[in-house]
This record gives sequence, C-alpha cells and structure tokens, in this order.
Amino acid sequence: MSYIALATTTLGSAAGSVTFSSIPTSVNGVALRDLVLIFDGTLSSSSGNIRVQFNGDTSSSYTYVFMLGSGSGSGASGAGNFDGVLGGVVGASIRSAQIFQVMDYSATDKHKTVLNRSASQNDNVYAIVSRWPSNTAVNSIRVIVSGVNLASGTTISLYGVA
Amino acid sequence: MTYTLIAHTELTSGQSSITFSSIPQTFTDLQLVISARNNEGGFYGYFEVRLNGASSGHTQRILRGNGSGVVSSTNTVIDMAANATGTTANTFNNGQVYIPNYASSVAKSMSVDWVMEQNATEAYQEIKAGLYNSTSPVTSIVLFGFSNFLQFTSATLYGITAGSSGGVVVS
Repeated sequence: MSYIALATTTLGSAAGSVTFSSIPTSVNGVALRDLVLIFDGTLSSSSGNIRVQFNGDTSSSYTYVFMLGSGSGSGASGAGNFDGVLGGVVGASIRSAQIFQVMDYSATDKHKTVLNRSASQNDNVYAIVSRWPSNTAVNSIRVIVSGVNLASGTTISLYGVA
Repeated sequence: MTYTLIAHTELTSGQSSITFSSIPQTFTDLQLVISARNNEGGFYGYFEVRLNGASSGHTQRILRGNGSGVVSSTNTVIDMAANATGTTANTFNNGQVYIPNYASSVAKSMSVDWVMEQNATEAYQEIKAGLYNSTSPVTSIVLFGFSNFLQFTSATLYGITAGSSGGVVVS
C-alpha cells in the first residue's frame, strides 16, 4: 500500500466550506484506489455534523447509517435522502478529529461507500458509513457544515491510497 | 514520503511499558498501531496510552461492544485492553491511535480503536474519542501497563505528512 499526499489546507480565517477539486485517478503513473480525508478542527460557533459532498452533488440522494456513544448512552440510526456523506459533530471549543475513507473512489461501476470515524471528545464518538449513489469517479470533495463556518486553524488534508 | 515508519518494537520478553521518545516534529499526523497481550490472569488487562508520558490531562469518550451488549462511558485516561492469559493462546489485541497535528500548539484530539478477540463469546471492541488537553507538541508516547506486556507484543509508530501532488486544487 502507498499513501500519497494530494492536498492540504489550514484555514487562515473562517470559511463556509473547503473544496478539493481536480482529484486525479493516478499520480506519477501510480493508480489510486481509495481516498482518505483527515479533518482536525472546530467551527466558528455552535455545532453541527460535517457533510462531505462529491462532484458538486448537493442533492438529497446520499444515505448513511451510524452508531454513537455519548459517554452515558449509545445510539444508532440511519437515513436515506441526505444531502451529503455524514460526518460526526464538530463544535466550537474542542477540536474534532475525523477520518473519512472513500473506497474505490475512481471506480465507474459502483456506488461510492465512505467510512467515517469521528472523535469529538466533548460530544459523541461515531462510526458512520455512507453511500453516494453514483457510478461516477469522485473528482471533487466539498467539506461543509450546514449554516456554520469552519473556524480559522482548522486543517483538512486529502490523501490517495494506491 | 507520505507514510513513514518512525519506529517499531516487538518484545523479546515481558516488560511493563513501551516508550516511543524523541518523536520527530517533522510530520503532520501520527498513527500508532499496537498488537498486545499481557500477563493479567483474566480475559483482558488495560494499559494506558500516555502522550508525553503524562499521567493526567487525557480524557476519552467510549463506545464498547462485548459480544452481548453495548455500553458508552467516559474516563480521564486513554486506554486499551490487551488480551490476557485467560484468553485463547497466541491471540493478541489489535489497536490503533490516530493523532492529527500532533506537533501543534493546541489540544490534541485523537481517534482510538481497539479490538480484543478470542475463541469464546466474550470479546471486546471499542471506538473512542480521545483528547490530550495540552498545548505541548507530542514528543513521546508511553504505553503504560499495569501488568507486564508479554513477549511478541508489538507497537509501531508511523508519521503521515500532508502535502500536494497530482494537481488537486483547494478552494
């Protein structure tokens, strides 16, 4: 397995979203199989679930299922017709560390499955799986929290896995 | 190189702790991968993951499955359980810790997973949200055992370096 750094950004000021575009299917002749996105940061205010949207698709076509631990209880749920890949909650005080793994992102014969592990120590611990129902290769990724800005100092990095 | 082996150890005999020190500050994130067994007499024996060797300043939020139910809790340490001598022979736990921006001057959030399997109904797996509430860069990691880790326990530390390639545009 090879791990290739594709892009990274640390916000110098609050931003409504971060988008990685022109994502290749190979680098220097090495074909990439999966993508890994690492989120480490906070919001400017309030809290909310991260959404990851592929190829500019903001339609309510994504599905997810999750389990969570709150520290005093546990839960699980799922939904269809969501407007993005679901990530864990991010707040404004303690940084949330989240890992998104997009399996077979460049495949053109299958829907895209995404695994998310979210670590927000002052909220919940999550394990989430989402599906983007498209056979199109992923060429852009937008990270957003609906209605809230990502805070300055938030770092998001994208890696390709060969 | 994006994914770099920093250090690896496999015990040739029992010892109470494993330490990674003088961790280079040149990477973006750290990933620690563990395979552990200890000499507790029951099914499992906990050990702590102490950043900078600190015995305080860590907290965690846990979701655990034990083969028959699920529980969630919090604690003021970051820990894992190793297979103990009461579990199936030659079986070790499997755990990993991912620490983004370990060299930064902010508190360190981390993602922790571990499983402890055996040839019986009782086995454990946990996912955790961890926090090391210190603005100090992480320069060492101690796996602090309350009983000895057994021979063949191993731990591997990797550095992950963010960067740019392939023409990806960030906006």
